[in-house]
Amino acid sequence: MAAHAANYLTKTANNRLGLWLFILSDSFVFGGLLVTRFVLLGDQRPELSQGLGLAVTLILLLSSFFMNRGEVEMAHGNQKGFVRNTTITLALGIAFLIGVVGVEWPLAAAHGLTTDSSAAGAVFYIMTGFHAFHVLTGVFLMYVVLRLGRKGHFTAEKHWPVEAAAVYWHFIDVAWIFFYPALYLMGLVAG
Amino acid sequence: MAKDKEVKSVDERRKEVLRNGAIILSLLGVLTFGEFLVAVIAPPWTFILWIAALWKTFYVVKDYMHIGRVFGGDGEAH
Amino acid sequence: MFLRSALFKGLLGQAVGTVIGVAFVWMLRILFGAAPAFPFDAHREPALVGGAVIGAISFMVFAGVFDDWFKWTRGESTPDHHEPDKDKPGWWRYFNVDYDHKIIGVQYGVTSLIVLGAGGILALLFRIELAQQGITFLNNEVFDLLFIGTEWYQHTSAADLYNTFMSLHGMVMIASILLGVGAMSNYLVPLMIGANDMAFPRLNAFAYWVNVPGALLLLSSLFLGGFDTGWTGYPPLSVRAPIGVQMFLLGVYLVGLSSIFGAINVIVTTLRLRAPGMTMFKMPIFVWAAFATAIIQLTATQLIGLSFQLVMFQRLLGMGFFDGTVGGNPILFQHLFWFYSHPAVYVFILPGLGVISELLPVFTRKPLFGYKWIALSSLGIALVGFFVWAHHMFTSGMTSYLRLPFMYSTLLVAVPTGVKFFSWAGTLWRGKIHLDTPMLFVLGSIVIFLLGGVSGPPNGTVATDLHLHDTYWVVGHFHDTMFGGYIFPLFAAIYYWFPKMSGKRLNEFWGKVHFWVMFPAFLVMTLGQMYVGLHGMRRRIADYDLGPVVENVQFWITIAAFVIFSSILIFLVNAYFTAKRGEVVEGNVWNSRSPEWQIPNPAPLHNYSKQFAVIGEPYDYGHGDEYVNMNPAPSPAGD
Repeated sequence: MAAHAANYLTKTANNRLGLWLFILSDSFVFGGLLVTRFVLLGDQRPELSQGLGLAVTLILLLSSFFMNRGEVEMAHGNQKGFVRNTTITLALGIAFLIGVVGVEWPLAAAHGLTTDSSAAGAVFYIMTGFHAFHVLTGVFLMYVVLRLGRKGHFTAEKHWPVEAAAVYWHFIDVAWIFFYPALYLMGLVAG
Repeated sequence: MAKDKEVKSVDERRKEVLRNGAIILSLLGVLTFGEFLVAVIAPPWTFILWIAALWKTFYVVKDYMHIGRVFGGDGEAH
Repeated sequence: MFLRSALFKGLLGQAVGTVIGVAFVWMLRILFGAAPAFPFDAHREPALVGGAVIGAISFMVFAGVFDDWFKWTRGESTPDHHEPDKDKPGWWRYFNVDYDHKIIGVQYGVTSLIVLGAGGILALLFRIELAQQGITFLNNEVFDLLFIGTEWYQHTSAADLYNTFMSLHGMVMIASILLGVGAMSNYLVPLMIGANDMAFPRLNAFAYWVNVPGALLLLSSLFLGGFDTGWTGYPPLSVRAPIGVQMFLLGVYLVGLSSIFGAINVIVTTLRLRAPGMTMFKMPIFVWAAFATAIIQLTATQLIGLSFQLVMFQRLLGMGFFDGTVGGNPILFQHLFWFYSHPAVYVFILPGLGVISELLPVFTRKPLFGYKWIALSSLGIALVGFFVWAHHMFTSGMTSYLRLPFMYSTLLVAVPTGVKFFSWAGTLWRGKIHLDTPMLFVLGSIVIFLLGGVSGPPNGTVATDLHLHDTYWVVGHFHDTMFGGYIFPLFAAIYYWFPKMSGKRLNEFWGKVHFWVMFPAFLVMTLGQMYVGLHGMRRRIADYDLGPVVENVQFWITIAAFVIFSSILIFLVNAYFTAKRGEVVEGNVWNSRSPEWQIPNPAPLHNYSKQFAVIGEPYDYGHGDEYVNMNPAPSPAGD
């Protein structure tokens, strides 16, 4: 038994390193998108709904908070708490997606900011689109661990998939921490 | 410090970690509003926005993502 | 039997998935009113791209690459290793999803050689056109005769077939090299560090298999009008090129995914699965090279993926990233592209240089000179490589003050490379040199890579590069570095480790013939390329008018290309007959100290039945004490 537990710890440590390497790799994509934004738009920014931007940003921050709670509850063996908090995270994640893709995109398009209108439009849709795709994968992962968690697959000692989904989710949050100011706050609205 | 933790019960430890998570959230929220205000009041001060973003990243990476675990630390704390 | 293999299922899946994807995107576009259903022309490009993406995913699903992961999402556990099916013949495992790193390594290697052959044939075809002035047999009439769907695209130039072959030759060879790098890393790293497999066997299988649909997409561009952009795919040309360019961009993207996931595996394996006592500075030197390579692949690859996606989206959705009329900037593409594509050449050469350092001590029976310096020089090349990309852009019109820093960072690469040469010379010095076939290829590599190294700084220096940029000189330099840094070391590695893979030793005589045919032919080719370049021959053009001397040299370059190709045929025939009825060799063929030679040939299923311990230095040839103790006493700690 002891050897088995040690084996699990070793494997989890390997998995953790692998996940972080993937995050390092993926952050180069987000970095490249930021470079694209600053090379093409410089000190200008697209005209976007400030209230909506702040709202989705807070939703994502809040979702990270609940994701953290979910992971902590699982780590202390509280399955109910895990399920409750992760469900909230999942809902917030979907709310973020709706906010960006379902509301912000049509709103921006209605104001004349379309994919082919200008470099600003191209940058806006590619950045939010790439990020939304990551959110979608994060939501999917969370759905998987939530389903497994409900069935009682995780324990306080063994819950690597929960940790992985959580770390990935926070990483998506970090990406937005940079994208939000880059898209909504930095520079002046192109006139 | 590690010994302090061992004395506490599982539930106390859990509450402590959860409280820490809430503190981080409020810090992130305050920083985000700060960013928003800077953008409204003083648009040219983009460097403040960069510093705020890095600051927020530091909190998330350290306390939510537990980067310390990659290097073997913090193994028992969760 | 073959019809039930993962390869066939995957291919079938890709075909079905492509059709479904095309129909799906077509219907979506009709539904959202993008254009009327007919004529189909208006939907062709998005539908084909959607088909290609879904086809590639279907390949992976049908081949069964995701099977274990699907089980995990349902909460089922799977064994660490799936034991091979005893009823099936030996070749069966190579055509199916297998998690053993040795199988995957060989899969990588064979695929690499097949793709290498395809790239070579493309080169031979357009070399014929260059053999003489005025030959233009790769013209659009021939193109339209050869390929389907001619009404689907418009030619952008009169020499589209030449341009497509030339462009594909570049990218197909890069895919082949990446596969070959994957072959060496996968096969050798776990064996050398005493692990029984890579850290993530399933991810490893994924990283191999994703190359198959990737390579197919890359080659399918031929049938969709090709692409005339060169392997770099610069916009605005790539935005205007035929649909084929989309398949090229997607194919490269998939091959890039393979690089990224392969790199995660190599790094975690190297950092965490080493045998007891094997510190970083006691690893076989090849592992250092593979590790440094993986660092580049892990990070930089994302940016070529991004740059190619931006082009795809510009074509599909009219997003004006590189369109100056709406505020885009084509130079941005070059920055993103070269941020990967320069470090990429270090991905190509570092494993090869690692093979050179690995084999030299074995065949000189002497310690490797300056082990730590070599290990760190690999890392140094990888890290400096991140800061040199804009040296490809001295003539691009980028901000001119950037030229100087990038010139100096480029020249800085010569320092760690020089360290390697110094160490190789030091290792050869007064060694007992055994000229077996692998050693011939190693020595050939050193000579050729030296030529490549010496012809490099003129390209990196702004003043000379303005003259040399886009000439055949650059082509000569590049082929030097690729043959010296990859092709020759690859063959050295194949001749050296073939017994470990098959239990048989490649025929020495034909191996030497292979070398002595390929080596001089290559020198003729590369020196000829540099010569015509200095006399005004530009890269990537189908015809030229530079007088009889250049024409004469061009002719000999073409002959040399055919000779190189035939030497590789000699190798393939040799490999075939060796595998059928070659000399069976057991044990330590080359009398090496490395752990992989202390176990039987071919390497057993789970590599090491017992974990060995490292007790000495890896390259202390001639000093008597051992590197590894294959039979250590069990440690009392019991870990």
